[in-house]
Order: sequence, then C-alpha cells, then structure tokens
Amino acid sequence: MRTFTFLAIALQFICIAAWCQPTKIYLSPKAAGSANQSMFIDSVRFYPLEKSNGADISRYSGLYITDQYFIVVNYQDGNLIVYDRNGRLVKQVAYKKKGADSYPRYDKAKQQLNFIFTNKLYSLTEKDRIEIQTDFANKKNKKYYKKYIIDLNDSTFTMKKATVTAFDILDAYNLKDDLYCTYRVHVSDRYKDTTDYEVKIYKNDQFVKGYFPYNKNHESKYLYAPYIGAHTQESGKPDTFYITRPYLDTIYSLSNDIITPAYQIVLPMENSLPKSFFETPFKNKTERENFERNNGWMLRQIYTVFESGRYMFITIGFLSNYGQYIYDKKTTSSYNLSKTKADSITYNLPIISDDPGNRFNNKYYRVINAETLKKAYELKDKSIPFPKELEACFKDSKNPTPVIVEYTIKTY
Amino acid sequence: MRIFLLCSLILLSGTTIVQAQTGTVKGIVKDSLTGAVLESATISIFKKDSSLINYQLSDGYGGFSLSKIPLGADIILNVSYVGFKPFFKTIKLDSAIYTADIVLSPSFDDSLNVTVTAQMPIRMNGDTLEINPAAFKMDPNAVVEDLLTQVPGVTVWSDGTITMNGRKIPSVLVDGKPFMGSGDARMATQNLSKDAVEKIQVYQEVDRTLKPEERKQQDSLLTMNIKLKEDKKKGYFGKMAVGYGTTQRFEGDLSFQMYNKRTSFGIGGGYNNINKNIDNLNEMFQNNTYRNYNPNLRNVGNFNTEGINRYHSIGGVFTHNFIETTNSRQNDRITANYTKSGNDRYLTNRSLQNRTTLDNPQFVEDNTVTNMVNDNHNFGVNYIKTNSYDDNFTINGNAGINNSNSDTRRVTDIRDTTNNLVSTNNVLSAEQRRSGNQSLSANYSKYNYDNPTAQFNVNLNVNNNNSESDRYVKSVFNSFVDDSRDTTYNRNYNNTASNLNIGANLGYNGLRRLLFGRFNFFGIDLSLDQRINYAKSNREDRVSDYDSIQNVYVRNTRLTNNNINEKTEYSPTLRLGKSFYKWSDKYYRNVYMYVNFTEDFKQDNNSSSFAVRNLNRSFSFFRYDGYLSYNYNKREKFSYYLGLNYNKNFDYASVDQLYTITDDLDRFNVRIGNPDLKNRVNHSYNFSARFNSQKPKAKYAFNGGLNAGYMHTLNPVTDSLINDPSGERTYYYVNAKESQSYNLSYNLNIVRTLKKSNIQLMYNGSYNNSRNPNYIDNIFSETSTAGFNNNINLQLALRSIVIFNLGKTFNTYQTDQSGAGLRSFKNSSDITRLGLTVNLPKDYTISSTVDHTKNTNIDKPIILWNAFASCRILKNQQGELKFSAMDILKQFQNISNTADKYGTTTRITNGLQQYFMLTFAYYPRKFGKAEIKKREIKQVW
Repeated sequence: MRTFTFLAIALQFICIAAWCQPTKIYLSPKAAGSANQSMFIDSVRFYPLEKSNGADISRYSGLYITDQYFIVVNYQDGNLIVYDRNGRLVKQVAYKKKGADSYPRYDKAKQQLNFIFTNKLYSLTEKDRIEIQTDFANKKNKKYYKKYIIDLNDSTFTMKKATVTAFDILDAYNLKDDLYCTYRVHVSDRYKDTTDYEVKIYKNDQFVKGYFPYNKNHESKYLYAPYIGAHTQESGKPDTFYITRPYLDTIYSLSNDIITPAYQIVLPMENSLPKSFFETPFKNKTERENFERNNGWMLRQIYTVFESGRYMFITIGFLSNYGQYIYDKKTTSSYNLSKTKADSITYNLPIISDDPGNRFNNKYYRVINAETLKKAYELKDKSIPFPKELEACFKDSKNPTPVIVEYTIKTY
Repeated sequence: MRIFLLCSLILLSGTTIVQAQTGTVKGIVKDSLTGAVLESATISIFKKDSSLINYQLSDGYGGFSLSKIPLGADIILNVSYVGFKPFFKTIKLDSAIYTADIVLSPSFDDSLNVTVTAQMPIRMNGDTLEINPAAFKMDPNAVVEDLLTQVPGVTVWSDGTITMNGRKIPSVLVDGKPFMGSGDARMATQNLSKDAVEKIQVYQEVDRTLKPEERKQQDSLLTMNIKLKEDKKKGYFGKMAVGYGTTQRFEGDLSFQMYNKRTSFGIGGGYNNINKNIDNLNEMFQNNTYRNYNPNLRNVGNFNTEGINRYHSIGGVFTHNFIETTNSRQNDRITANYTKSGNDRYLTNRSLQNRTTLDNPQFVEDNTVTNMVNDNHNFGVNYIKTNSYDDNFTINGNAGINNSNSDTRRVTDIRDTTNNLVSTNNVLSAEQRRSGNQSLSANYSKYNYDNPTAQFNVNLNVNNNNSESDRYVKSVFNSFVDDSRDTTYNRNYNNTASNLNIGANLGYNGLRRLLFGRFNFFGIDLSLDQRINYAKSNREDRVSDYDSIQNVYVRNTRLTNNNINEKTEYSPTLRLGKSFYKWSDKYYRNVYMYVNFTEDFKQDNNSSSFAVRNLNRSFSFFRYDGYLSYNYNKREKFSYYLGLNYNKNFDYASVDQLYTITDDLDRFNVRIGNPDLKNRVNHSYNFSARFNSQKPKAKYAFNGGLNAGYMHTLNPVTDSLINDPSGERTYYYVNAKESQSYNLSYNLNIVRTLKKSNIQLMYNGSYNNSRNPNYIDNIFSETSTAGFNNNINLQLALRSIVIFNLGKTFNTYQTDQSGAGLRSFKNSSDITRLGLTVNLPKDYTISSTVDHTKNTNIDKPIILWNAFASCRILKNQQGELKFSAMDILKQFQNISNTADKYGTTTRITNGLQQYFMLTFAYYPRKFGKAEIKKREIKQVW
C-alpha cells in the first residue's frame, strides 16, 4: 500500500512537473519566412471613416476600440478623432497643448481616456523622476504632472482636468474590471535597498499582489537599463493573462494568482543573451549601451503575444532591433510579419504587414490611411470586386477616405 | 565654350548609341509554398563566363525588370532569397522582352533553424544598407572603389567623393575605425582589395562634433563601414616607383603601409625634380594608391608650379588602437607621424605690373632670380578616446623645425606711358632662416542627460614658435626723374622672434539647469562659454648698415628695436538656442536658432625700445551673433537646408599700424603708421543653402549648394598711397568711413547612371566683389575689385574602359577706380582641360591630358599636352611600366594673373619644359595569409 501511495505521489509530481514545462517555440528571426496575408486572415469587414477637417491619419496613427467608438490617435499632431462604430465622425479633440510626453490610456472599466502629461515647463531627469515619484505626497511634486480625463460616456468628449494621484504616476493600466497592473521595471542606486515587483496588481488603486520580485537598488541585470518593463496582457482565455519579462524568453501565464511558464521562445544562439550578461553587472550606462550596440540582435524582450487558435502573433524586441512574427502551431513554422504580403484576396490592403493592429473581443482592427489605400486601388484586381464598404472609400479615388479594417484570424 | 558644349552633346548622344541591341527580362518572384510574392529577392543576370551583367532587387510586389540585356547571347538568370533555394537558369533573349515568373522553394525546415546564405548584392538589414562584395564578379585585382562604381545608388565622383542616392558620405571607416588613422576615404577605397571585404555597410551616425541639442536627424553623418573578412584583417600594400627621363628629369616614390586588427604603420617618401610636391605624407599615400577606376592623371610633374624644384621627403605614420571594437562609438587610439621634407628651388620670375596712378600710369617690369633651399622636420601625435557619442577626449601635439637659405637677385624697371625709364632698383639679398614651432591641444567634452549640471567641454591650446633670421640686402635705387631720390643700401637684418599663445575655452552646457533647476526656460537651451587667451610675442630686430669706409656694419638705431607684445583676452559668451521640429511618415523638418552675446575684455601691452611704442591699452567690446536654419527632408525624394547667420565684431589697430617702424629700403613699399587709427566694427551676414536629391531608383542624382556673404565694415583701415614720379610708393595707414564686400559661391553636381557607365557633371563657381575706399595720390577713390570664377568638369566613364574628362575654367578679375583720372583694369584667363584614359584589355592603359590656356596678357594660347602609356606587369599585376611624354608641343609657359586695388600683375616664371620619362612601379600587396592571386573565378551558387 505504501508503495502504491509513493508511486501515486511520484506520478503526481511528474505530472505537475510536466504540466509546468513550457511549450517550446523554435523561432529563428533570420529564417522566418514570408506568406500572403490571406493565409492567416479568415474574414474581413470594412468601416470607412468619415472625412475630418484638419486631422490627417498617418501610418503611425494609433487606434482604440471601445464598445461604442473607434478612436484614432495622431501622435504626431497630438489629436484624436472619435468615430462611432460605423465610422461616422463624432468629435475631434486636440490635446497637444495640454502638456508633453503623453498619449491616451484607455480605461475600459471606467470608460475613460486618461492623459498623464508631464508639465511642458519642466525638464526631468531620471533622478528627478525618482525623487518625485518616491515623494509624491509632497505638494511641491504635484506640479510636474497634469492629468486630463475624457469621459467616453459624455458625448461632448471634453478634456477635464483631474488631480494627479500617486497611483496615476505608476502608469498602471486597466487589466480587467477594476484590476489594474503596473509594468515598469527600474533599478537605480538612488532607490533605497528595497524589493519591488515587476508586475503589481491593484484593485482600483489598492495594491493586491506583486509578482517577480527584484531589488530596486542593485538588481544587476536591470542596472542602467532604460525603458524596460514586464508586459501583462490578455491571453484570449478567460481569466488568464500572459506576462513577458525583460531579457527572458519565457511567456508566463497568470491565472487564479498562479504563475506558470506557458511558452518558451527558443532563439538561435546568435539571438540569445550570454550567461555573462546575467552574472556580470555593467559598470556604467555607457558600458551597457555599448554592449547593446555591439549585440543588436540579442533578445531584449518578448513584447506582445496574441494567440488565435492555430496562429500566434509574437513581437520581439532585440537589443538594437525589432521584429514581429507569426508562429504556426500546426506546422511549427514561423513567418516574419514584415515579409507578409497584401494579396488580391485581401484587396491588396496591408492588413497585418508590419503590425497586426489591435485586438478587441477576439477581433483585430487596423486603420488604413489614404496613401495606403491609393496604392491598393492601383493594384485592384478587377476579377475580385471591392465590397461596397471599401468601394465607398474611393468615391474620390485620388483622395480616398481612410478605413478601419476588422478582421479575424484563422483558427484552423 | 561652344566646343565644350558640342563635345558634351556628342558624348551624351554616343552613350545612347551604345545601348542598342538589348532586351528586357521581367517577371515576378514567388514563394512556392504560399504563393506569396517575395520582396527584395535578388535577381542577377550573368554571362556564361559568370561575369555579372545586371541585377536588381524585386519590388514590394515581387516584380522585377532588368533592361539592356544583350539579345541572342546565352545568359544565366539567378534569383536568390534568404531561406529559399537559389534559382538559376540559362536563357537566351530572342525578343525585346523575356518574361519569367520565378517560384522559389524554401530551403530549410524552420524548426531546425537552418539558414541558407545566398549571394545577394545588396540588402537592408534594419536601418543599414549592406553591400555584399562576393555577389559582384570583378577582376581579381579590383579595389573597393571599383566595386562601389557598380553599386546602384552609389556614385564615386571624379574627385574621389562618394555619394549615396545623392547624399554625400563624409565618413568612410574600416571595421568602425578610420583606415590607417586617416580621414581620407580614398586610402581605403583605392587600396583595399574587393576580395578582402566581407561586406560594406551604409548607415546614419551621430555627428559627435555637435552638441546634443544641435543633433538633429538631418545632421547625422552618412557613414560607410567597410567590414573586412576575418582572415583579411592583416595585410600590406604600397607602391615603389622610380623614373628617369630626358633633360635629367627623375622621380622616385615610396608608399608602404601595413595593418592588422589594432595597429597600422606606413612609410612614404619621394625624391624628384619634376615639381611634384611630396611633403605631405597623407597626400603621398593618397597619390600612390592602387587605383584602377579613375587613374590620377594629375599626379605627375606639375607644370603649374613656379620654378624648378627638387623635392625630397621621407616619413612614417603609426596608429594603434588600444581596444578592439568594430563600432565607431568607442575609440582609444593613438596616431604618431614624422616627416622630413625639403626642396631646392630655382626660380626666375618676370612680373609685369600696371599701376594705378593719377594721370601718370606706370608700368613695372620686375625680373627676379631666386635660389632657395629649405629643410623641414615635422612630428605629430594624436590621441583619441571616446566611450560613447556623449564623451570625447583628444590630444593633438605637433612640433616642427624649418631651415632655409635663399639668394635673390631682383631688377626692377619702371617706365612711364611713353616707355621711358623713370627708375631702376637692383636688389641682391641673401637670407638664412631657422624656425621651430610646437603646439599642443587637448579637448574634453561630456554630455549627460541624467546629470545636466555636469555637461561641459574644455579646450586647451598651447602654441609656441620661434625664429631666427639673418638677411643681407644690397639695394641700389636710381631715379631718372630726380637724382636726389637715388639711394644705395647695404643692410643686414638680424631678427629673432618668439611667440607664445596659451588659450583655453570652457563651455558649460548645464547653465539652464543650474539657474532654473527643473524649469526648462520654455525649451530654450542656455550655455556659457568662457574663452581665455594669453599671447606673448617677443621680437628683436637688429639692423646694421655697411660702412664702406670702415668696412664694418654699423648699427642702425632708427630700425633696430625690441618689442614685446602681450595680449590677454577674456570673453564670456552666453548662448540661447531653441529648436522646433515636426515629422511625419513623409517628411521631417526643423528650425534651429541661437543667439550669442559676448563681452570681450582685452588688454594689449607693448614694451619697446622705442618709447612711443610703449603702449598699454584696454578694450571692452560687446558683440553678438545669431544663426537661423531650416531643414526639410522629404523621404526618398529630396532634402534641403537653409541657413542664415549674422555676426558683429570689433578689431583694433596693432601697434605696428599705429607706430610703424618705417624701413625705406624697399622703395616700392614704404609704410607709414597712423597713431589716430580707430577701432573697426564688422557686420557680416551669411546665407547658405544646400540641396540634394535622394530618390533611390532615380537615374539622375544631383546635389548643389550656394553660399552668400556680405560684410560691412565701419572705420576700416585702408591706405593713402602716394606714387612718386620715380616709381617709389609710400603707403599711409588711414581710416575710411566704411567698406563693403560680398561674395557668392555655388556648386552643382549631377550624375546620370547608365548601367556600369556614368556621366558626371561637376560645376562650381564664385563671384566676389569688394569696395574699399582709399586715397591714391591724394585722390579719394573707391576701388571696386571683382573676381568671377567658373569651373566645370564633365566626366564620362564607359564601364571603366574609357574615362573621358572635359573641363573648363574661366576667371576674370576687374579693378575699377571711382577717382577721377585713375585707371581701371581687367584681365581674364580661360583654361580648357581634356583628359582621356583608355584601359585596354588587358592591363594596358593609355591616357592623355591637354590643357589649353588663354590669357588676356599673352598673345597666343598656351597648350600643355601630356600623354602616358602604362602596362601592368609581373605576377598579380603588381608591376607597372609607364611612359610619360610631357609638354609634347614644347610651348608651356607658367603665367598667372593677380589683381588688387592698386593694379594688375602678370607673372611669368620658369618651370618645367618638355621631357619624356620612363617609370617603373612595383605594388607590394597582400591581404590576409594568401597572396592576392590572379585566379580563376568559380561562380558560387
């Protein structure tokens, strides 16, 4: 009986161990192939956008999708254009003059767009930011930031000034319901010798739980590293999030407060960080910069992971480069998004080339600007007529109206 | 000019004829697995012997179209793409268009991470364009420059400049470092074997000479990095040449350089009597490269040099990198050089001068014979250390010694308008001179975004020079107008001088942060520069006149003097700068402006053996300057830059202008001082513009620039000139109310690429005009001096086989006097240059240059016709025999024109005359372990 019990316990451990092993995805950035985008796209729907005066939609425009609106953000010009879900223009809002270094953050739970601006009158160094953020209760430090809110339930879309709180400074984003999440990872000898977490979950503005502790004062692999963070994102599965961390090839799954490694992106040796990177701290910022410059194709971080049945969108940052890939689970082959081609089945519109766009309720959305539409029009295959919504964009073929493409990814 | 245009038209039409009997290969490249079109696949077409005919990258839709493919010939069509099996097929074009849709099969199992490397000629790797030399089938002796001429978008201009899509590449590096420690790109591109290169990268790099706030995208330097193969990071190359010719002409050149990963060493030298100046080590290295594409036809006996010069030099340069990196952010390098050079000159000079005088023009004929020997030693050391783009430490040290001896005999005759002699002046002089100089400069700069108060740059300079000279002059002046003006001098000048200059500049870039803390002062950058300078010059002039009765030299107390001048300057400058920028996916533009406010505190002390010159003065000047620039860059279309600058500054008269020690030995240049000279105020305005096309696929690329300047000076120091009827001239320093000058310079370069051939048109010109008030024989006159220069050069290179150059230079000078009775003058020169090089298969080159010079002061045009024939011999073409026939028509004269406000001068000097020379050169070359071999080329698929 004891033997049986022992075997049963051992088997359970083996099963748990096997269950905890991440699925390995072998991906060679250099060898990732090309494909027509129709190979991945299942269905497409078009939302022509009503023309707006004075606001251009460029290649670099961002898109926010809510239940009621499409919100296009022009980062260059500092304005946003609100359309209803049929593409009808609702409102244009200019925010450039309100402050600097900000872009809107969508809070789904509160149906708000939040802007945390830095005050244009001040230039802040890293040291300043640390001092301000660690002593934000001090009234003197309030002046460096400004907060504005657009209430999406208010049809006037007025930018209303709000009080900046210590929680705002953390740059947390809405994960789900009233749960918020931080992502910034920062190490400096200006911090006290304290432990922080790469990912911190808040319920509204109350700290709930932290994951992946690190020392804010001297965690060697993060020392002198700028702009790094752990990314927590929806996995597409209920109550499950994916977390990716700097300098690691593992995609973690967070579900019911339990973290497990879900995937490991196995990269070729030339893209993998050497052991010495983790063991020998950099002496200064310059030494780190030179290492990154000299090893530009080594892994910095996996940024985004979108999973859609058969395919996974994976964005990888390298020390001096950047790449976006589609991984085919069925054939275990990978494709480079920058090599995917718009084809006639998808009306020669670059829907996932370079950027798959934004995901909302298991659908993907991408803004196509006028310049791109013109090129597509020139390549129009007469045997495959445009759907009427897309055709509507070309009433003036020399100056077409931009369109939002809603598409789904094949799951088979 | 008409001949020039006619030749241009003939050449242009000729290139069209050459393109007949060709067809086009077009199609689409697809992935066999997915049917996806493949962008940037490399489509290459080779001859049967594997030489590359043409190639192209497929466009965004997989399409390609290769034109001008020979009809009826068997050719190989090759398509390659990373990760796919290469495709190749032998085809023959029977019609004008051949269509081929190519399907490539993946060559790897992705899960196994197998990568197949194909021979792609060019590709984009992130923001870096990479050129793969292995994909270009060329002569085994080809150098990097030969390769670059075959790369689409890259233009190697006839002066060695390299542009990419119309934009200049100012920085060419080898493994991230200046090759052989030299900033001259040609050192690398004209020496390094194409086979030694793994790849060539072209990318944008920060211009570290700019402060961070000034570093905008358009200011980044386009950099070319030649990455050597791992086994070719060690090698040597050079040239040793000797030549002997008729009229005892000879030349000898030496250039030998070796390098490894960290260290390089080069020696160079030469000895010649054909006026080839060889005292600059870098120029010597550059002139002796193993070039093929654009032979240096002008590195021969220099007929334009005055006199006959026997030059010699020998020197070396050593460079060592203390760190082994291939990026250019990090440098830790020392470079040391030493050169010994000199020349032995024999010069005869006949100058004809028209003088501006009131109602009595004078004509001066001056005949001079000079023998001069000089000997120089120069040593320099440079150290640079940088860890990033935000720090920079450099030390430069230089020292030199110069010894010279000269003997001059000069006879000057002055005649009036009726050709009657009014005076003569015979001068014999002998001078020994010895001088030395030492200089040291150190620079350190540090920029730190995280600690703005610790941003500064420091510059220290120390210069010291001293000289000793001993000059004996015998001068006899005879006037045929007034005997009382006759003078005879036998004078000795013994001068010693030493100058010490110590300067420091401290720039503090953290002023805004220091004054305002986190407040950013509305985005205006503030910096404080403080310049401190101390200069001391000590001059001792001992002048003695020969007493023919006592037979001794007797001290001339009127001219003998000591003078110590000390200048102390302190100039704090406050700079306010601000920039605006805007960008989109189609364009980038920015405006940058700054103003500087400076207070100059100057102390000028003089201590002299003449009491009147013991002058101590203090000055304080408030001055300012400003700059405004606008840049516009339309991606893959064009870019332009506009800049405007204003500057106000002050000058004060030197003690030598106020209390001039007047020496009347030179009767034609007697200077009288003026203690009442006022301070000058200069207002200068400058405008500059640059434009260049940057269309990657355009057949034409062009760039151009324009600079314009205007200066308005208040209280300028000018002359009151008195011409004596005997031809003597006395100049008095006086102040005028104002003077003006303006200048305009412009250039335009156009290249038209025709497959492997190209036509280049380079044009530059300038116009300058100055209006200077002065007095000539007590008549107020405003002298307007204008110069107009134009230089145009057309080069046609047909597949590196025929290189034809046609150039024209047209210069005019004009001096107008507003004063009544004063004469105005004008002269002009017109030079047409032809050059033809034919590289005959195989290894034979014939070339010729013809310079046709017309000048308003000479009756017949002068033609200088040179011709050369050379052949590369020995194993690996390492030997060269060259025959030069110089001045075949034997009619060259060295004539030059100058003009100033007091007249025009034509100089006729001796120089080289016809000679023939045979030269043998040996080029030792080895890159890596294996000797460069003339091997059979096997196509690697």
